[in-house]
Amino acid sequence: MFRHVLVPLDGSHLAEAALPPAASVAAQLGASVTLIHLIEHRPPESIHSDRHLSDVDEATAYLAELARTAFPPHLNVRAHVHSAEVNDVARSIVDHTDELEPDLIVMCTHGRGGARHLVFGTIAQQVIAMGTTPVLLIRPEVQERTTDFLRTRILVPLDHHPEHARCLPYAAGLAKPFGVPIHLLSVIPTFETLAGYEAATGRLLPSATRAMLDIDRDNTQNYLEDEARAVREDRIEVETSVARGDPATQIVEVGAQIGAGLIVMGVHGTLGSEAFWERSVPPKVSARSKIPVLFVPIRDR
Amino acid sequence: MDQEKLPHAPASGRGDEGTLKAANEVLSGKSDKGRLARLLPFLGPAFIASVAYMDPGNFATNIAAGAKYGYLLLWVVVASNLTAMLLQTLSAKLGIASGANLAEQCRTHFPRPFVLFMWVLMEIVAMATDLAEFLGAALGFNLLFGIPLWAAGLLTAVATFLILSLENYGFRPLEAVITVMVGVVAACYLVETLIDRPAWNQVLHYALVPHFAGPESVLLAAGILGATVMPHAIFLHSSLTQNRIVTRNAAQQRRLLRFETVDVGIAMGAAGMINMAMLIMAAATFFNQGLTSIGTIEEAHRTLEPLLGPASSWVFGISLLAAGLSSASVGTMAGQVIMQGFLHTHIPAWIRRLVTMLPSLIVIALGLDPTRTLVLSQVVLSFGLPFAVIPLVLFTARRDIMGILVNRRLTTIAASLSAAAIVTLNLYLVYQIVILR
Repeated sequence: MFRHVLVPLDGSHLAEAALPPAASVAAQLGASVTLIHLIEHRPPESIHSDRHLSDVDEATAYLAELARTAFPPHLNVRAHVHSAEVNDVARSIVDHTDELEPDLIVMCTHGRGGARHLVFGTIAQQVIAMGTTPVLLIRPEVQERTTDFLRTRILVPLDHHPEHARCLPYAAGLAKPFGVPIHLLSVIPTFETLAGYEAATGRLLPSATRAMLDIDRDNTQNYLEDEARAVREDRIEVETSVARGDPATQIVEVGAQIGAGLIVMGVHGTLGSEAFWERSVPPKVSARSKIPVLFVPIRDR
Repeated sequence: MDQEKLPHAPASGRGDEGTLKAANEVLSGKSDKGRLARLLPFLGPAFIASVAYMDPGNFATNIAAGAKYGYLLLWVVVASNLTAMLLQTLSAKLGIASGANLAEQCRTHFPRPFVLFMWVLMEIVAMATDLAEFLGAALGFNLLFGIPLWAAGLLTAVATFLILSLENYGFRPLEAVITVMVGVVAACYLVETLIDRPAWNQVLHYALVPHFAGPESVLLAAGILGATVMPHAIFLHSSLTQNRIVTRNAAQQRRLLRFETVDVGIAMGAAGMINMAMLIMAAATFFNQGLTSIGTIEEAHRTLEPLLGPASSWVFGISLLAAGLSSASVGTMAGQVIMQGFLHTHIPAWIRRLVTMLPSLIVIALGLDPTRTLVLSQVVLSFGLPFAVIPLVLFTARRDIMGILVNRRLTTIAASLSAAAIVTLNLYLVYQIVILR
């Protein structure tokens, strides 16, 4: 499943929170790792109180040190410093995926604030939106600095869009080697938590909308069982549940309740202001979840 | 892991089921409670739904019609409401039966040039809908705070975006407050008609027997029709089950259709009564006192004076503002459904809102008469109606599209007659405008 892991690093301690999970996944799957640093055009003086790496030699030494100390010695870990200055960090990371061909990117949610992130999303969100490689997002402020990653179940939120089930093989690809069960969750809104055009229709046809949501709940339980059966054939333990309420809120809450160690979800790639206006669930989950989230791009490639 | 092991089923979901169970008992005839108790599960939703049909377009056309012609056009309100009940039921039925909304069905079954023409027309309709809502809300600000209309327009733009964005966050309390405000005024009109004791024999006569009194009355009739049988609502109704229910079986379809018919019937019934009450009060306040020329929306608060006295102006202002703002999300989302269906593409809701606001801002900048503009915007809606109604009748009459929910012959005949009446009204208006003026 994952044979080559890419870890973008900017020199800050926060970004280094991506290293233990990356080491854990690589060790468990026998994958190679590439640590990458991009020299930015007009970089900020500091990032999260750490001095920003803007010198090629300094960055090379920094990555070499991390490759030596943060990973088990038997792993194949390479360092790559992109010396040509870049303006758009997210775009450059995505461009490097064409060159380095990783099948997983591990990075921290890394909002530097400002208007740009309001419009375009964080660098991590931009990488998810522009790229076609799955991205494992780590919350540095809550992530335990331990290589003991993924000891509990994997939560996979699904809805009735068949393409969202495309993230299931990735969840299975981690569940099996780590020996953890998968929990399939669907969230059906209540009438009160409907948003957008469904809410507008709900105002015109309230009791029909309520009835439709209840029918949807019944149908969804059957759908989840069908998906679960397919995964169980691969000898992976699977649980299912249907929750009611706001999807993003329920995904985060259920994740905490069942003690999930990872959330895996398909993402279409809307971000920033567009995600806000389209009521996109993934950005909300990534903002609220204390659990690492693996986003799998599912738009047609 | 099953649901019982997880403590994450919110209480609201169980509340929904309680309502649903009670409603189901009523619909299946198993309830043994009293008549009022049996109706309770529907009253809350019916209130919300009926308020959704109260927009500034209704205020303007009803007030103008009552002031100028007294009870004469009451029958148009009745006919429009009956037509809306029929067509909106058919629209939701199309969505339930086929899993595709009306715009998507048009895209599938009509030639591409015609589909593009329909899309352009429906976008104009969306703008006309927006115009009424926007202008109404701006007038509300204008009446409440005495600020110039252009400043009120900008304030409305900000308020609309605020509500749209709050709704994106699932923040509904604000909308609930707005709905209550509109509901209070609706209730006031109903109470007033009882207090005012209109000539009920005349009310009954004009509610049932069609009358016209010249070209202007036809224009107002078209306005009332457009304000009641809204094309965008027809498109929106058909998107009820979009992307929501994947597997459809006959029992589920019939169950949904039962609920939806009750929804439409109760909501349109309540909205119809409120619209009639508005027209009756305008007739009593302006027409009966010979003030036929000042039936403007700025003066409409006088229709609330019998009950509210000096408070009538600000209560009416608040309700006009609330109705305009509460309709904003329905109009915007209907526009999204139309674009998605016809073109299989969409734009962010805020861009849509921005574009459809432009005509409203232009109208305010030009200083056009708000009441006249509001009525004309509803006339534009009535011109868009045939292009929603005729495809709807065609599709719902086809068994290959509808399956078990295909129209009965009588339904198709009734819907066809409605379509024919709407087209005739539109053609007569065109004849009036083009030939006689």
